[in-house]
Amino acid sequence: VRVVVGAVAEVPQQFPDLCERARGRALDAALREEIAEGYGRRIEPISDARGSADYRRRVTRVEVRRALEDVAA
Amino acid sequence: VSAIGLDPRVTGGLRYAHDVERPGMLHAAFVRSPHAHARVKRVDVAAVPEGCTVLVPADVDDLGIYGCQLKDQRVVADVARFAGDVVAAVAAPTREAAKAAALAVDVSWEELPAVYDAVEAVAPGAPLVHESAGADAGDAVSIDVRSIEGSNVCHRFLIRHGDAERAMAEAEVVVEEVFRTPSAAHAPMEPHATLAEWEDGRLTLWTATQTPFNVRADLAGVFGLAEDAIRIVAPPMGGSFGAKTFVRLEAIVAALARKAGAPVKAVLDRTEEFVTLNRHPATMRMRLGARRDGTLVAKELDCWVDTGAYADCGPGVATKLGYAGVGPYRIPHVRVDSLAIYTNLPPNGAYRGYGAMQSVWASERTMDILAERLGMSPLELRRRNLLRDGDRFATGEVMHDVHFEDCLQAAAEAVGYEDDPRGKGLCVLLKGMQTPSRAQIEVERTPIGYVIRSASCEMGQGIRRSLRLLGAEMLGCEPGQIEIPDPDTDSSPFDTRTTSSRSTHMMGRALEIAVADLRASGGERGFGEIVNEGGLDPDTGQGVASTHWHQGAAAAQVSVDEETGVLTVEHLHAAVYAGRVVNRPGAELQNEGSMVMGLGTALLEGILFADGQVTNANFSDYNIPAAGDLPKRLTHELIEREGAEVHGLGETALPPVPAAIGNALQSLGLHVTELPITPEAVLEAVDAR
Repeated sequence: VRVVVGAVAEVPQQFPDLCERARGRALDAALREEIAEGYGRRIEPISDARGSADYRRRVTRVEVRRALEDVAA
Repeated sequence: VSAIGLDPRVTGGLRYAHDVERPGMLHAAFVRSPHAHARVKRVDVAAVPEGCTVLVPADVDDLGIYGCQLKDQRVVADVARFAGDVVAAVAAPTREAAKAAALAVDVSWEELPAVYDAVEAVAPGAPLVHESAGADAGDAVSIDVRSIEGSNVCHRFLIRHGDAERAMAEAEVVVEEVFRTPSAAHAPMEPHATLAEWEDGRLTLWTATQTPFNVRADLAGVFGLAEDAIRIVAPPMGGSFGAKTFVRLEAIVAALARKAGAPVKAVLDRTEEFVTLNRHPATMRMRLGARRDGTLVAKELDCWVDTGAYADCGPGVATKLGYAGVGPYRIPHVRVDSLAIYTNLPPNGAYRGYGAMQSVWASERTMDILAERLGMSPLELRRRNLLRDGDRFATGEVMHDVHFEDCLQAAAEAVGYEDDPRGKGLCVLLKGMQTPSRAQIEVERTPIGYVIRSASCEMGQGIRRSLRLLGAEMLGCEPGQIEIPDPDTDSSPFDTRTTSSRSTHMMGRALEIAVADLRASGGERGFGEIVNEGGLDPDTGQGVASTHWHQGAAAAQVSVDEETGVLTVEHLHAAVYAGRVVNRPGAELQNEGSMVMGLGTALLEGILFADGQVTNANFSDYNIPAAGDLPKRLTHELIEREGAEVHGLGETALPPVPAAIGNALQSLGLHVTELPITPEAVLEAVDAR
């Protein structure tokens, strides 16, 4: 699994070590949440006219989880 | 293709103000203040290339001060009152050369304290934006301005109807809330464009304007000329929405042309549009009192209306905002205090809806808050209190031709509100038309048909088409036989202005008189005039607010992603009272355009400032609705009645949209008080629930 998040920070964000956790494992709900939570925690979002850093961090977690749900489905 | 032929807007045949050229003309560029409030100490033009003309503050010391309701603006500022205020102008043979020369002008500044919020601007000790109040423009069709000397209040509009304080104290249920709306850009496709030419002491301007006669009158004062020494020609505009009203570029471009001794043309950049004229930000505190059965007994409304660095028509906006905030309801006791307040932000002026959107957002959200408190359906609460024919409004005037209930009912039915109100919201609107006002029109026979002359300006709303259709019907000819020249103050009869959705209503009736006059006087020429009398006393709010009411309602059905805050408008419907429809495709497009603009106001748009600087002056950072932002279903209707008169409808479907969406959110337990309703704001409301 490779997860890249855009429109959140100055450049697209990827955390290979978080994605690595999916190697050889089923992408179940717990793993999806673990990766999503990790992305939400580790990104360094910007604040601008479109949304605050806090909002970006919170929604990153939701969107990563949802993307992984799509992949798993 | 229509009865009138190919639309010249589609073929490229239409010549906009932007397209006008004159022999030997120069191009203008402006030097703008980087500071929100600063005195110009020195303007050094030594580095400006030869062949350029620079207009500096000292050049206009002998000219008059201008402003449509309050005379408070110099042609070139010697004190910049907002970041973007023009402190010098350059004329050069090309636009590029003018821009380069403007960069070579070196201005020395003395920075002054600034204020960026209307509520803070009326607090004790706030910096004064103007050292003294401007002079009342004394415009006969305008309002009596009530400035408060020694403060930033440039106008105070009051309604005193009954005894609101006592009635509120005795009310069984009282709700109170504060609402805010931001500044917004009109964002017409065509920017402001003006060309000025002097010949033998006479000034001609070709300019993108909705207000040729108002511009002429104001410039006469600036240049000390008789009004008939100034000619204003108003070619069609590529959109305006209120942005091209009153003196914008006309005074400075005319002064620059005078100094340069050549015609000068100015066309603004998109970035400059964001510091030229915007929508009034407003803060509104609403108190509403009722009996337990839902009968409204009292309303108190305090409005802080930010008119920016110059009053422009802020006094008028604060007035209309004030009485529109009462809403179309029978309320025996009403107090409104609506202040138009100077701040060091770009000037704010007319914007489609003219203040109604702001106060309707506050007023109609408050109705749903009260309904929830009473455990009553918001539709039923409204029905119980709506104005009907013969009722007295808070201004004391007796209401006539009233259709609020029809509009509301139509909107409710469109979204199935009574079957299931969850996720749905309603809003009903009362909006006045410019009162008093005057419209004149002339009809003259030509070899191929007729020419109709009026000062009604075409800005995409279709007034030419409406006049052709009406004229053809009255004169018994084809629409294509009627010629409609550009408004021209030398040859068009007087009209107050092309604003407040009044042209088809006023000019249509004037045309009937003109055609009757033509028939009665030999068939060659006819003249018609309509005058609507009225106006409000600014100290009591009593009088005639409007001789003609714009009535409408909107309904929204929304769904919310409660994890991201993303709001989807599943269905948006507007019902607008039209009376009689003249130009059906045009009327339908007015509804659609108003609704989409209202959607932008509701969900997307707001000018952002940092220390008075606009930080999103482009269409990447300032988002107007794009196709992907539209509701899944967008529907609307024109309510017509047999034998009814033509009602204006150019703005009616805009102001009710934000509150309909806000009320739809409230039906889901999500409480929002500020616009725009961003996903982040929705998420905050989810957290607060």
